[in-house]
Amino acid sequence: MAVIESWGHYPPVFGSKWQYFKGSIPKEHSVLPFGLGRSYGDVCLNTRGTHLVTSTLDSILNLDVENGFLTVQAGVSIKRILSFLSRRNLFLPVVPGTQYVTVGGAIANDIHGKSHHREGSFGNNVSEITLLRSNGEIHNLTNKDGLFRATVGGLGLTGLILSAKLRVIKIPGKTIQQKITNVYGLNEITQGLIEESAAWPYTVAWLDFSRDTIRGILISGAFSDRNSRDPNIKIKFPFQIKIVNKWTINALNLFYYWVKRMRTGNSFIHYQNFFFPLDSIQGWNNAYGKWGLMQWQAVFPKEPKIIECVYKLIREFNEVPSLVVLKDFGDITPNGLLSFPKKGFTLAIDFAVNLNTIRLVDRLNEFIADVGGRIYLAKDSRLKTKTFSKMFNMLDEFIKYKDPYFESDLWRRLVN
Amino acid sequence: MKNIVCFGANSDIGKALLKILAEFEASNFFLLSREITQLNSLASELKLIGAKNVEVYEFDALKTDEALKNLGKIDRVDYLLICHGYLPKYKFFSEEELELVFRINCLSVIKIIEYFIPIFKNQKGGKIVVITSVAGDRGRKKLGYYSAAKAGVDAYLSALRQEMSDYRELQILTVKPGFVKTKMTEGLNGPFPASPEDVAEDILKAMIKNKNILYTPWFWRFIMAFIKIIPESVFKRLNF
Repeated sequence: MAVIESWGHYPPVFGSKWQYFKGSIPKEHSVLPFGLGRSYGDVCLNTRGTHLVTSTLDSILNLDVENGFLTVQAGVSIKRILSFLSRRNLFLPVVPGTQYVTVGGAIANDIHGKSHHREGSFGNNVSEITLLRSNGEIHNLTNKDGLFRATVGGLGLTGLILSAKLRVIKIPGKTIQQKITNVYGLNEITQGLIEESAAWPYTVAWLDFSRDTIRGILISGAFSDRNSRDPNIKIKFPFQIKIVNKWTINALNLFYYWVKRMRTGNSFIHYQNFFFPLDSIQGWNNAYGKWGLMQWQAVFPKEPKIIECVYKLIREFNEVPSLVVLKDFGDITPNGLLSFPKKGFTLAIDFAVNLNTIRLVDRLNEFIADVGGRIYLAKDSRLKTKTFSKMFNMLDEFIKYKDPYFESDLWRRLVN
Repeated sequence: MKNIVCFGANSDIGKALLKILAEFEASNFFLLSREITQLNSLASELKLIGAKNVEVYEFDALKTDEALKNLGKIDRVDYLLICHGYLPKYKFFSEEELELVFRINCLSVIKIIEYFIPIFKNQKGGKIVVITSVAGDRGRKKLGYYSAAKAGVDAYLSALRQEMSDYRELQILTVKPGFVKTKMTEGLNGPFPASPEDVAEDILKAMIKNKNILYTPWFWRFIMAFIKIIPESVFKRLNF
């Protein structure tokens, strides 16, 4: 652990200072807690100050099976928690798209997963947070406190999260029964996704933007009582070599579509392969080369027309996104002041960074602001101050709770 | 968020590079140039494109020390861009021109870099981008002083690169453009003219890929490789 970088390699950084967190907050520079560095943009970077690496906070403190609560320190990864819980037939209600995130990061970005329409976001399932402020005070927060609401989705700026008490759910086994449906055309996709979400606890839609008509795959799942061995096939991608381009993206989309299409119907799959398909390739972000990647994610009202507009804009810029994922957000209101989720559709799109895609993302951001949507800050690196304050109307309240010694590049870009 | 310091911000390549960098990432810009009024309009344009903060300073390459003093304290410099240059009207036998060419193209560049080296050492990384010229690779009779001054900077940069090799995250980029259509080359007819925008895009690519030497446009690398291997006994008779 020595490289401070965001997962997207964009914006580029060098010479960042970091130190392990050892119980107190140093005050020479501004600080920012740093977990596993899986945020895409500059939310996890503090190039002017120092990073407090939280891997020292690595113990699981308490499991209360009866009431269904797990208390862990903030530096514990979701991967460790899930392997710990799933052996006891327990699970977290909300898991992200990768298991290499820390609990602290999951709270600070108020992450969401395939279960949002049932369980809400990660912050909805946290009952207590212990927070260390730069003045040395330790706060035990419950979800009625204002500081709790600022810390959830608070981008690590309200203080350093020491530990958290998380709700856990019972599961019958480690295997997920999944149902794959292939859909054609935007109306069929959105309609299908809404129907599947009503019936299944986990849903997501993968879309193919590389053709003239959008086609997609709906993946829904629920835990089943079958058991299977943990998968251990790991591919490593250690070098930053750019292999993502229009041809490989087209080929990959075609390949993925037909593989999934052949498996249409019901099947059983280990939870790791269901929730974290990309984790089986370590360092997949290196495939985007030195320029890196940007993931653009927005939430907007449930109108297929908006997706159509986004698709047309991307076509207009002559770009092919390498990954497009659509998810249906339920109406559970998030706990955080700066939380991303709200009722609507959320679209996540991966782009290889170049000057063209940067311009494209700027246009998309403006478009989303106009239709009353919101951009996911954990993945953003292009938002402007004006559009930001338009999207997050609780900002003024959040600023009251922000710790003066905690800073990030994102905060400097958007607020200061 | 980066702090970008640019000397000679009003040069055509400098302007194009700054615009592209402002678009690439929201940053703070410190612009230095002789013509402060033109600099102000550039500043407002950069802000429109996406710069977070822009400060402008007066800078005359003949009074580099003064400009550096005025610049004051900058806590962090991520990118240092040196884009100013001077192309003389006379190739030889003018003491005045000789002094000008060396002070602007060579001495002031080296002074500026030396001034910033402690900051780069302290922050253990950064990018220094210096625009020299393909003319520095081999002197020709039309560009005697200019070639000599640019070659001096080239040699200095390669020495600096070796000296600073312990700092793995410090990039020192020598940019060697061929003939570019700018204010400096106005009225001249060079071979394969390129536009400042193309050069700027090449520089950004090289900055991201951590290159050491960039020939731009790319074919100049091969042209200069060929010119460099011509034996001096033949070269002295050539007429170009």
